[in-house]
Amino acid sequence: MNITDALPYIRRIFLAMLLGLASGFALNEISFLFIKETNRAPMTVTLSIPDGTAAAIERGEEPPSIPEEMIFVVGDVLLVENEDSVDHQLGPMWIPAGGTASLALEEEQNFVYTCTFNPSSFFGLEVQEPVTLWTRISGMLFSGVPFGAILALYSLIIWPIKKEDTHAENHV
Amino acid sequence: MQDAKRFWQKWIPIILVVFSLGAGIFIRFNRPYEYNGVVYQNPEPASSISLPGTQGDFSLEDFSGKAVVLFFGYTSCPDICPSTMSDLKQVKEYLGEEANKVQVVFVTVDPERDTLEKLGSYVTLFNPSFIGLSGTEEQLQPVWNGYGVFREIDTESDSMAGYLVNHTSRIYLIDPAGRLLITYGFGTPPEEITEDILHVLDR
Repeated sequence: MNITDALPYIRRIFLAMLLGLASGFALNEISFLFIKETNRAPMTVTLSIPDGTAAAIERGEEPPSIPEEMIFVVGDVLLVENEDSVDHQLGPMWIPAGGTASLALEEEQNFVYTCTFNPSSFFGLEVQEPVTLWTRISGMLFSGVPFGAILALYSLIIWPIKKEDTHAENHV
Repeated sequence: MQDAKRFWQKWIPIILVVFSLGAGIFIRFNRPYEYNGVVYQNPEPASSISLPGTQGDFSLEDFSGKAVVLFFGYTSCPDICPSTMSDLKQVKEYLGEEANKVQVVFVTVDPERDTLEKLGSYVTLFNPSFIGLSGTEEQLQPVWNGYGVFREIDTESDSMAGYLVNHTSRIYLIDPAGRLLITYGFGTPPEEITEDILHVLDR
């Protein structure tokens, strides 16, 4: 088989791969819509512990504006501002009264830390990989290329390229 | 005209690559240093420490001009304390010539059993320059409070060493100006702590 005979196959495979990549792109983009929390670049996330938090917890109240868990991306910096009059602790972070401490989140992790500013005494901290341009491209390639290959294979089985098609290409 | 076109076609990619490399190197070496561990913004003076020590009475103020690495533990600790002290021993080794600008201090959370003599034998096993601090509970309590140290005697555990003491396992880094700058969680690699100390000494 020479290159001109192979042209219809090359065209079929190329179109199938294009369709595969387009489907991979569409599928991934729809998935990323559901993970808004990590669909961003790393940044500094500030968590403020209001004045009176420890007293409120002792009274059995829920301090406002403090979540029970947070989702971060790798590269985020968690900045905790302790505006309370007592020291507070979040896992490895000890924040003296009136102080501010920061912790760089450099690795994927999913921990539940002991925490002195939540009534439940726990704080869920999840760090995920951010959705970056490279994540999108990798996703498209990982799903699109195999899908395109399968499409090409099945199209060649279901709609085989007839010999007349290759001869017609040669004699045009 | 054709010669000029060919000239630019040849040199533009090379110029772009060299420029990108140069920009990348500049950005890499000029970005602000990022400390490992928990960093205190607008660091405050570290809580005062005045306690009997294995090298005589200890006062934190006497170590102004040196970085102080502080750890709270006890000599009968089966795991966390020896592991952390071993890490701090490695930090001292990695510091090389700068090691004499750093003082490691071990403060007991078990004053009942940790006499100065026992502490002295313990800390110097790791490094002869390490200092151990003890005292009465009345003397130690304000220090524990000043550093947010949790401490709880556990008499229910079945240990050959007797009772265990549950305690905070943070390492504290106090800069030469006496300010609490960074804390590290248990298991922070000695290399990362060393990197930070070298940067602090260099400031």
